[in-house]
Amino acid sequence: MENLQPVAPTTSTPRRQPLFLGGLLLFLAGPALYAVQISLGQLWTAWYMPLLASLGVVLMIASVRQRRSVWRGAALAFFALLCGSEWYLMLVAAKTPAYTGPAQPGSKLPPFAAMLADGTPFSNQDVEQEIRSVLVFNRGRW
Amino acid sequence: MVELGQFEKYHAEFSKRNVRVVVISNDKPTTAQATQADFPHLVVVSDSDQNIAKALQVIHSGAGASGDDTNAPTTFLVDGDGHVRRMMRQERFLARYSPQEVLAAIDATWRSE
Repeated sequence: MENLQPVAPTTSTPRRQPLFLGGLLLFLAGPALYAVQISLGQLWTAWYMPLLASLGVVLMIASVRQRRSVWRGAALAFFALLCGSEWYLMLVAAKTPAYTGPAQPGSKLPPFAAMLADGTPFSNQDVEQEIRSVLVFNRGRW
Repeated sequence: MVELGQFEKYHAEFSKRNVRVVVISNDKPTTAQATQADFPHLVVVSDSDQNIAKALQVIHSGAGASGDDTNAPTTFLVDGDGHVRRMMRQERFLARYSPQEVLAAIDATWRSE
C-alpha cells in the first residue's frame, strides 16, 4: 500500500494583467503614429492621438485601482494631464477662426506689398499678370 | 515644411495647369531664402511685416509658436486678373490641404474655362 501523504494546498495568486504598461504603450502609440503620418506627408487632423491617450489613461486608472502606489498615482496624474492637454489642443487651441476678410470669391485682391525671398518687390499687381495663382498662407518655418 | 514639400513634389501638376504656387509666411527674408532654396519650384514670399496677411485678413492672433500673431493657414485660388475664385481653410491649423485636394479644387474651378 502506498504511503500517501497529505499535499499542502498551493496558494496561487492570479496573474495580473500589465494594465499600466498597456496604457503607457497606447499613450505612446499616438505620437509614434503621428511621426509616421508626418513622414508620409499627410497633414490631416490626428484625432487618434487624444483617443489613444484617453484609452491609455483608462487602462492606467484600472491598473491603479488594482494596485495602489504613490508612483502609479503620480504617473497616472501626469498622463491624465497630458491627455487633457491633447484634447485642449485639438478642440480649442488649434481651431482657426472663420474667414471674414476681403478676399472673398468674386472680389479682387486688396492692394498689398511685400518681398520675394530674393528681395524682389512683390505686390498685388504681380498676381494680376495673366497666370493663375494659388496663394498658400502658412505659419512659417519653425 | 511638410506641406511645402508636398507642393514642391507636385509642382509639375501645377505647371501643367498653368498655375503657380505662391507661398506666403511672416518669415524674415533670410529664412524665406532658405525656404526658397529648399523648394525651388514654389514662389516664396517673405511677408515679415505681415502686409499681405493684414490686407487679406488671414492673421490668427496669438496662435504663433511663442504666442505671437501668425497666419491662419489659408489657400486662395486667384485668377490671372487678381480676382479670388476660391478660399480654402481647414477648421484646425494642424490640418492642411494636400496638393491633390488643391489640384482637385483648381480643376473644379477652372475646368470649363
